[in-house]
Amino acid sequence: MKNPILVVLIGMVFLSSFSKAESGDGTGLQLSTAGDIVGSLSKDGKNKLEVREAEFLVFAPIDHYFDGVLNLAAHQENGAALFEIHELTIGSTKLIPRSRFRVGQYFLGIGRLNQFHRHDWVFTSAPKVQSEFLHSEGLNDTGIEYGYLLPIPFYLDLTVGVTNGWVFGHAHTEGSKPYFPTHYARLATYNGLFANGGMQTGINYLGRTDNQGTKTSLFGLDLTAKWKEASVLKFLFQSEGWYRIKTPSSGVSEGAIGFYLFPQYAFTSTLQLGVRFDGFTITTLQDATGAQIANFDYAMVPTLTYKASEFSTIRASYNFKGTRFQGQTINSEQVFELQAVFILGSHPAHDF
Amino acid sequence: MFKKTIQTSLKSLAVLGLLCVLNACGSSSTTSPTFNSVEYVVVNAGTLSATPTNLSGAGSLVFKAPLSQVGSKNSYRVTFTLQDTGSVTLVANSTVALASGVSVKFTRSGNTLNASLITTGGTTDISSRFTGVDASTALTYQVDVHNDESPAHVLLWDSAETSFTTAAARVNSENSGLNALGQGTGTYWGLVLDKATVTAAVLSTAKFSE
Repeated sequence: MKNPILVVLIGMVFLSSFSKAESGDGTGLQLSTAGDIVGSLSKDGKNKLEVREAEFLVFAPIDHYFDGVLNLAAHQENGAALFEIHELTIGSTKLIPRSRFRVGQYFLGIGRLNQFHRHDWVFTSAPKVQSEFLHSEGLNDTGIEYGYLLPIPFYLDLTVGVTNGWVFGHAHTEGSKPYFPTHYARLATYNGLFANGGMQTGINYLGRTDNQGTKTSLFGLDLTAKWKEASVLKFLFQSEGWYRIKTPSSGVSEGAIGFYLFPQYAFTSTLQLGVRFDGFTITTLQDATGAQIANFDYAMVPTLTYKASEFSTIRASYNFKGTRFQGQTINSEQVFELQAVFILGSHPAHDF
Repeated sequence: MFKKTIQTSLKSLAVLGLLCVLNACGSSSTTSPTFNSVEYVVVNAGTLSATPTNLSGAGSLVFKAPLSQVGSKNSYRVTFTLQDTGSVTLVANSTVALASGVSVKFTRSGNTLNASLITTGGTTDISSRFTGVDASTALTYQVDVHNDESPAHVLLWDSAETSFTTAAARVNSENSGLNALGQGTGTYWGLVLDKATVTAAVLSTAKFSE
């Protein structure tokens, strides 16, 4: 049996067709599938169209207190699409007043992009700061997360969590037990803006000490501002800035800063144009004689999006990327990307 | 007249002094020696004999320009010959002193080539992957070190290989039978020689893309 998870999933889809119909009080099993197809074209690239991701999402209330989520996703690895568990959680928003929690495997509740499935992002590929500091698909681990809406006159929400931390980012092995597991926190607030706009701001922290004693600390700020006309998202501004410091048990610390800015304007209810600006630098890079090395990775990504509905997206983007090293451009690349995303079934809505 | 002479002399000295200071403020660092046109700094001179195209003897060196960051992935092409009981070690993502990195060490015993992967997380013997290789000849290997993964992912291909896939790799640290490594903690790379000769060490972008 090549992929037992796929067989189980097909079985579940089959069985669910006989399950109770979705009801207004949400006791029915809900299924959603998403497909993400991406093609890229560049001078030295793969230049192919690929099924980047296929996702099967199952969610429902388990009983009057708990909710369950199962998210299986397949990615291309070495030419094969391999299904794996992305999320499997049991949680509740009803057990503790003003609180929510979940236990299991999930995308960590920090930053902006990291909390969304990649096919839901407002652009096609991860900015460098996301892929370097977290993961190009989002940082995901197994643990427990708790969120609390503070009982104050304005919106202030605190999320804290701790996860195993045996791996961090991209890994194909079980990893190793860290000296101190991955732990994180996000404090978010919301403010109304002029012209019926609104902005969510989050300050973020993540820490971990791996099995070699290297301590990683991440500090970030995420900003998402929206202006709507009726139900149309007329203008979006999304940005994240992160600072990371990695301190080995012996040796020199490495500091790095990265950010992205993404303004987007909607010409119509279906057509949007945005441009993403990325920046990334290692602040402590030195050569072997101790001389500081100036370095900067940059990207500009114009992005045109067509959304016929909330269930389909066609997106074209052009990546102008480069690396400056000691005052010279040592690497530059231009990549055209075409993306198609679809959702079948009921996909959970995002809070903002 | 004497006063005028003194004033002129003082002005000349001031200009001379300013010129000396300006000259000293300019770049006056000594150019480092090069190997394959890449500057390096000697870590352990030992009995190392170096020319721009040949390193031999026993000693170690670190290349002057750093890797882009600690969590980077790069590829290294190394050509070497070993005397009997000699060794050469490629060290990647290490400190300036070539410590705490991800290393691939080749050792000759008669005509047998032994090899190991070394990090602070431990040492893994990969000699069985080199069965049949004649250690008395000049050898060239292409080595990817993906230090952006945890643990670091190391792949090694023969010099003739043009398809840099996991299937074509002579060594893939993620294969069963190889212990999980740690990660390098630095941004430098270099070579450690012991009764060895290295004629090429070339850094490039990673050959294998996940």
